[in-house]
Amino acid sequence: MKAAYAIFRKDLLLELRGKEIVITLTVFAFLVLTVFSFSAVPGSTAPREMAPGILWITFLFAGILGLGRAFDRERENGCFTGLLLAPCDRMQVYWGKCLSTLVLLMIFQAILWPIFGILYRYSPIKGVGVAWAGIVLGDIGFVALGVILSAVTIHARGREIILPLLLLPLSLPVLVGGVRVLTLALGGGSGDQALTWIGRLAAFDVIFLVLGSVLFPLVVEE
Amino acid sequence: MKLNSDKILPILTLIAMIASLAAVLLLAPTEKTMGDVQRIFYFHLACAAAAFVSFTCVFIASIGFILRRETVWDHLAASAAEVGVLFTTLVLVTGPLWARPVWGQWWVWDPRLTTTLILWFLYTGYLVLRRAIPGYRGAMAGAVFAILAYVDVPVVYFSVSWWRGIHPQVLRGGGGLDPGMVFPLLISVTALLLLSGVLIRERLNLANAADCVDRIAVALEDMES
Repeated sequence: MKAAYAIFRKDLLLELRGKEIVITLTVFAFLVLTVFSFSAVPGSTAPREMAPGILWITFLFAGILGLGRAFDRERENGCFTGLLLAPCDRMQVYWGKCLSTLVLLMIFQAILWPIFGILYRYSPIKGVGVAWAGIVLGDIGFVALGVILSAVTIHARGREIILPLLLLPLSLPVLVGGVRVLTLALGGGSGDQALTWIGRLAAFDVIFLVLGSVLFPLVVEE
Repeated sequence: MKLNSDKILPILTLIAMIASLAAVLLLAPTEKTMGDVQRIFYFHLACAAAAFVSFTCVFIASIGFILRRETVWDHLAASAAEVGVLFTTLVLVTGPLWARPVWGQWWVWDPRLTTTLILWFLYTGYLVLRRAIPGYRGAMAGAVFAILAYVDVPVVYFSVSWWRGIHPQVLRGGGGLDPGMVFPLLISVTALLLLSGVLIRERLNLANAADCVDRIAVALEDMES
């Protein structure tokens, strides 16, 4: 775990110095949320009803951008090769990358949360616990898939387009679960239902994390 | 003409396909409410079976490649993926052709339909990925993605089907399949499974031949220099 923590710390320090990813993602997501509101007829309640879905799609788009940026950083100057040469289990590289991407995503989502509440007229406090349980669990599954797929596509021609092409359909379970939990949390629905979906999300996370940990060392071997 | 094993399978397939056409068009009873449109179902379900078998083949071949690191496994996975995408496309075309007269619309967001479409996206993505990375790296990337994709399908299926569904459950739900329909269904499934086998094998031979040509070209270049 020490190596994973070191990679996590390195990524976070890098971000703390530049704040490049978090700022870019927040501005991008703010823009997407705004643009979505134009897709409805003026005065209709559609955007508010679609809000959980809109927010999650925003998360996915921004998440893909963030992953791309995080791995571009590693490719520049051959850093990724250096990372793989480090005397540690490759699985730890995977966990470190997952952890740092997860934290960066959550920071940007925390900044976006009140903006979302204001734009789509939802209280940022009501049901916040359930909503964030869903967001964090959804993020874990997304990141587990995203990091392994970033490694898969790292040598691909036109990887900017191939990554979303592969990642979006694969992360559908996460999207379905995340949207369900968020809908229930914002609508103040029954806690039981939300809990069922939180359980399912946790199960997806376990599946994807185990698969990612097992498959990551295979993709990066030379 | 001497029959060798290379020819037996295609000939069997041809016979099975003609027999299935005859069984579906002449032998099978006409469905009471849907009429002749229902005959699409034999082809539709058989394509789905062929697609499913092909993708299972991709999954097994990908595991085989990861364990053995031999190109033949990789070629098998890539060939089966192409055939699987072909049959999934046919499923997605024949489904709406049936749904339009029966359901009154081409497409609904039913779990079965949605997951089949996702399946198509996943393996189209697989083929794109294969083209984008050459050589051994591409083979390994493809194998890893194929495993993720195959595991994701049941996960997607359950996450979506916890929602709602109207797609007929002919085989499991005991949805009243007329005894006269069972034989045409069985023979058309057999025919298309054989066809997918033939296609995968042809594609595999082609891939192996292309590999061989590449190796000869490299050897020739070495000799010249």
